[in-house]
Amino acid sequence: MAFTKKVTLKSSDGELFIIDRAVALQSRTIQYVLEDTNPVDAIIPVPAVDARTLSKVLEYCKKHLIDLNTDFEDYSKWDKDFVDAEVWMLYDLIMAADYLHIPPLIDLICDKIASMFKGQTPDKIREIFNIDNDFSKEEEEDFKKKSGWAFK
Amino acid sequence: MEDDCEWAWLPKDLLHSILDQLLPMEDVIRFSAVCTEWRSVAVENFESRSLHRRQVPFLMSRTKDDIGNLHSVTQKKMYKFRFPMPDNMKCCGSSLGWLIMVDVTMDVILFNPFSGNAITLPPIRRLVFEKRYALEVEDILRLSALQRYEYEIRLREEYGEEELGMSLDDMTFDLEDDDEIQGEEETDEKEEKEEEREREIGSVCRIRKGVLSADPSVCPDDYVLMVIYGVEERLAFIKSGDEDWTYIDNKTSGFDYLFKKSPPVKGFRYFEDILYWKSQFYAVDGLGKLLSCEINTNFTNLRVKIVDVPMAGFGIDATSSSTFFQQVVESLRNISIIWSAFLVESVEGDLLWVPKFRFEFLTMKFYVYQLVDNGGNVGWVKKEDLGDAALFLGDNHSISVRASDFPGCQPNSIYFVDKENETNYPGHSGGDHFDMGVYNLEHKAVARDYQLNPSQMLNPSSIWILPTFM
Repeated sequence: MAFTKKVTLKSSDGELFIIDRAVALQSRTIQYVLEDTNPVDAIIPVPAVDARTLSKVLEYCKKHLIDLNTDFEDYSKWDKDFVDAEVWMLYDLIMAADYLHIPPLIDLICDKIASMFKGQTPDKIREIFNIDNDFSKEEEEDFKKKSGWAFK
Repeated sequence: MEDDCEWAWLPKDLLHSILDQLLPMEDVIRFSAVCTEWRSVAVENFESRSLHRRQVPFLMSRTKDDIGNLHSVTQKKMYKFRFPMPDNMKCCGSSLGWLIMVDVTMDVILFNPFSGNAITLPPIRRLVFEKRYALEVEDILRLSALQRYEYEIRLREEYGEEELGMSLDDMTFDLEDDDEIQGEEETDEKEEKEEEREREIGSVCRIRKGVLSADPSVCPDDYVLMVIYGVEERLAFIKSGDEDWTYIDNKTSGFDYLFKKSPPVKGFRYFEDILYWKSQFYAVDGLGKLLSCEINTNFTNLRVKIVDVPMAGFGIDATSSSTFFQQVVESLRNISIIWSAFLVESVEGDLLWVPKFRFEFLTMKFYVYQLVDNGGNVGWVKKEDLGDAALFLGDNHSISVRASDFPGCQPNSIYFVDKENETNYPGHSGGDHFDMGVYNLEHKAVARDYQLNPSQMLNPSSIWILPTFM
C-alpha cells in the first residue's frame, strides 16, 4: 500500500507508541489528524493523555480491531474485565476516550459508571467518587422534601 | 492521579451519557442530589429527553395519616413519603408526575405530590352545569314544557352558553301541566336522599382522565391539559394561561341525555382514553373510533378530526377480531361484563388501542390493536403479543417500557389497576372492590401478586405515577 501502515503517538509525558494505522483510526481525533495532514512518519502528539492511560486505551483499540469476528459473549466478558478498574483509572480512561473520541469505549465506561451508581445513596456516591457536597442547606432541604423518599 | 479526578466537572456530554444508562427513576433522582453540577445536568437531561415516559411508574397510594406509598411492583420495594393532600378533592388521573384533581366547585387542580406545587385551573363550566342539572332533574321533570324552556333559557344565560342540548323541536308544549314544585315537607328524609344523590351524581359528573402535553414545571408557559369529562365523556382542553376551557363539541350535555331515550352517538362523545402522541392529542372510544386534535402552541389554530378507521376500527382484519366482537356483544347482553379501552404509545412509537374486559370487578382479558396505515387504508390490526414491552394502564397517562431495561419487569405484559369508577357496576356500591394485577398476553391470564391492603385505597386510590424531582 502506498500509505504508511504504522503511526507513532506521543503521550503527554513523552512516551512514544508505534502502532498499526488501523488501530489508531479507531480514534476519530487521530483519524482527522491523519486525514488533514497525512504526516508520513511524523509523530502525532496526544497532549491530554499520559502514557499509562494511553497504553490502556490502545489495548482496547487493538482488541476491538483484531477480535471483530469473536462472538458476542466472549467480547462482552473482555470488556467487562477491561473496565473492572479503580475509580481514578476510569476517570482517566473516560477523559482519554472523550479526547480521542472513541464512542464505543465512551459508552462502555459510562455504562460501567452508571452501574456503580445503581442503588447507592447520594452520600455513598460522593464517597466513591470523591465529590464535595456543594449544595446550600436550603437547596438540600428543598429536594430532600421533594425526593427524600428515594434516598433511603 | 487520584487527586486529579474531578468527577463533579466531567464534561456534560459524558454526564448525559451516564444518565442515559440510569434507568430506574430512583437512581436518576439520587444522581441529581450528588452535587450542583450533576443536578443541573440531570435537570437538563430530564427536560430535553422525554426520559419520563420510558420509566416504570410507581403505584402510588395514600394512607390516612398523609403518608404516601410509592410501590415499585417490579422491584417489589416500597418507598414512603409525606403526602399531604388538599381536602375535598377527588383525584382523576396522573400525567407526567402530576395528579389531575377536581374539587367540589369543579375547579380543576394540577397537583404535584412530590414538590407540593399546585396549579389551579378554571372550573369546567359544563361540569358545573351537569352537576346542577343532575341535582335538579327531578324538579325539572315536574315542570311544564314551557317552564322547562324558561328554565333552560335562564341556565343558558347563567352559564353563558350559546346553545344547550335541548332544542325547542324536541319538546311538546303542555301548558296545562302547571303544578307547583313540591313543598318542603319531609326535609330530613329529603336531606338524606340528597346526600345519596350527590354521591351518585359525583360518580358521573366527573373528570374521567386527564393528560398533559408537557410537564408544567418544565414548560410553565407551554403545556396543554386535555380531559374526558362528564356524563357523556366528552373532551375539553386548556392551555397554560387560558382563562377558560375549550370544549371539543358545541353542545352542552345534560338535557340531551336525559330527555332523549337514547342519545345519538354522533360527534365527539363517549371517549375512553386520551394520549399525547407525536405532538397531538388522540382520543379513542370503546369501539376504536379515533379522534386527533392538533392544538397549535400559540393557539391560533385547532384542528380536530375523526381518523377514518373503517367499520368502527376493524377494516383491515375483521376476522381476527371476532372474539373481541363476541365479547362486545356479550357485554351488551350481560351487564356484569364491562369493557373499556386504553390508548398507549408502544415502545417502538406506534399507537396502540387496548380494550379491556372485566367480569364484575375482575379484569379478565385485554386485546391489543395497533394503528396501521396501509396505503391510506387506516385500521386497527390485532397484535398477538407485545414482545419485550410492558404496559402500565389505569387512571394514568398510559406508559409503555422495554421490560428488559428494568429488572423484575415482565415482558409481554400489561400491569393494570382499575379505573376508580369502573367498579360502579349495578348491584355494587363501588369503591370497595379494586382490582390490580398483571395480564400476560402469552398465557392470556392475570396474575394478582401486588395487591395492596384496603387501608391504602384512599384518595387517590392506587394510581400509576412517575415521580418528578424538580
